[in-house]
Amino acid sequence: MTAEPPPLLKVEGLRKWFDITRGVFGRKVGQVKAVDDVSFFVRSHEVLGLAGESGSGKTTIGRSVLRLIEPTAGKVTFDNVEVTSLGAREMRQFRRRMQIVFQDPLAALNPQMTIEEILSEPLTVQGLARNAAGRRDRVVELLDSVALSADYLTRRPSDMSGGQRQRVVIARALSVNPEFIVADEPVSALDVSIQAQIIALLVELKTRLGLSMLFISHDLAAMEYISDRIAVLYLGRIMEIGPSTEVCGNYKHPYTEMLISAAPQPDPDRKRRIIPVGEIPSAASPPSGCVFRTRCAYALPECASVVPPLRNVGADHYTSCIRDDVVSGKALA
Amino acid sequence: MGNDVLIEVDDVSVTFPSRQGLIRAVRNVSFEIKRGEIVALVGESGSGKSTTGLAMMRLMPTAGISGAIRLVRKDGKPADLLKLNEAEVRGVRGNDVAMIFQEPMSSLDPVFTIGTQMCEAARVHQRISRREAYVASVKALDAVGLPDPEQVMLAFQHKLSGGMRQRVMIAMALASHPSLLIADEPTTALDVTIQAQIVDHLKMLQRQTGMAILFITHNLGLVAEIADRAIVMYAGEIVESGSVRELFRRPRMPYTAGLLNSLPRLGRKKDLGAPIEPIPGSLPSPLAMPDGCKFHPRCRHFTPGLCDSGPPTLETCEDAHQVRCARWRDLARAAS
Repeated sequence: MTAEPPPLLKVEGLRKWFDITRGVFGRKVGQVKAVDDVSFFVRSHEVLGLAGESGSGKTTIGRSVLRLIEPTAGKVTFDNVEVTSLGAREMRQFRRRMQIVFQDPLAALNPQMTIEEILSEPLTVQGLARNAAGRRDRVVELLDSVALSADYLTRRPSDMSGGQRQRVVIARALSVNPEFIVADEPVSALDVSIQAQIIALLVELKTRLGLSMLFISHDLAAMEYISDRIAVLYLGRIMEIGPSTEVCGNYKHPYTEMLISAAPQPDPDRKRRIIPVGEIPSAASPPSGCVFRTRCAYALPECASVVPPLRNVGADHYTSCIRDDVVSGKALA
Repeated sequence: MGNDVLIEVDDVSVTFPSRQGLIRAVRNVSFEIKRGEIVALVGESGSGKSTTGLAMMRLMPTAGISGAIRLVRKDGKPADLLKLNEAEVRGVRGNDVAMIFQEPMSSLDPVFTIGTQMCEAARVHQRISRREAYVASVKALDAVGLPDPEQVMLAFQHKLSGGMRQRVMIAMALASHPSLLIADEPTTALDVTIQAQIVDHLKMLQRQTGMAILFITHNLGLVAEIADRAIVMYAGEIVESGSVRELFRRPRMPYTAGLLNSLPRLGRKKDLGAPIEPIPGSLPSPLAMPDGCKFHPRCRHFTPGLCDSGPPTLETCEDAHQVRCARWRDLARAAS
């Protein structure tokens, strides 16, 4: 392998277990393993997609990376700084470099504030504008970068459409000049014709500003479009990770096959190859061994005994499935 | 009405009073559904697709509805649903036409078991004993692919997953063998693997029972998967309709074409090469509808004087393919 620069973001052995409590004294009766031993990295100027259904742990990973929730175990390193060991004040400073865009823009914006106030606030908090005029210029510039005119300065979130609000949320995340953005289902709440606008905007910003991104979504087609690499998650573990064209076109894990097969495609001639079976089990009592084996058409007895580690199946491409004789990577054909 | 037409929606408009004025949610919508046909009603928010579905069930008490909705009832007699009184409409709901919704959580009562609710629904619509209702309900739950239906009968809704709840709703809707099922975004709240299971099951049940389905959705992928024919709505109007194959291969309305071009295609990144082309602008507000074609402010083929003056009519461009666009002829010529 050629010498590669160290990745911008590195996540090692990340765990987030939530306690299940019962009764008024909060007696602990079990644990939900939302994220269990997840390791990955994001290179500089790279978009990594986190794919998976509800309960896969993708949102928990996004928030743990920014320490919006505290991980139970594991290490997060950003640009050689161990984020997981920073104190509260250092972390606040550090958040300038790592920002998040949420799914629901209406819930993410204060309805009382004007767009100018919303976009000025982070500039003030992070001390990024010397005076009012400089701040105003920067806010107009930010609006422009998300293709909104200066007319929006005096508007409030309630006077705007969902797509325009999401543009404001993105502008706010960009206001502090971050290097890295966690985009958590940024288009799921939007109308179909608006989703493509926001995806195109994110692609443009990534190229123009050289951003790195963690793109969290359940929509694999949008993810393939925007991401350089994709990690497929199931019950808090990585099933497969690799270049997005490989994961979507030449996948090696039965769960990826099931997900791709299930994703509705706007093509009336396509026949679904695999009908998914069963439902995702509770993360409070995940199956032993491979967590996917209870829904897997190819499971063997040994799948129940050992948690399969990720193994290399191609350039930059890893799967956690122990079998390599079953998945053809052709569910779309 | 043709022989095999089950329901005919004829020039239906729906208006709501609002503080800012009258909202015309659905304008002059006409279409028919044949027996055993799966028709998709496609649109984004504000398109009027759900309002149309609710109007067909007469579930819009505060709205003003005009037009006619002619249904051939199970006894073979036609009835205009908009002229029936409340008691007669109740007889249609559940017997002839049933409906399922996006959020099964809010359609089920949290304080009764699934079994109690299913038996109650069965006995409202059919003259049967408790025992018969129980047996029929277990059978119905089994038919929608729920494992262990007798356990499900004893469960409260919060113990079931979203997919299981939607299966219960389908079982309840199908208990009295409706000839038309209106499914309003039934899988939108569910994960894709569960969505695929439910869609597959709906198709199987449709084949077994021969019922017709009106599938209301915003998801063009699902349309391609489930429907024979699709009706595309925008800002309260039908803008295009036709067979699914025809619509996806040769969309004539720039809005439909724009939607299809804005969708990223899975597994095609390499050979596709071209970036997605988003439709610019946003959906019109119901209180400030543009003149002429409702889509013209966002349309890349907009021609001043033509598209923003008179409202375009719905024209037949090919056999059973209809389009509402003043420029469809010259756009079709340019495309071929």
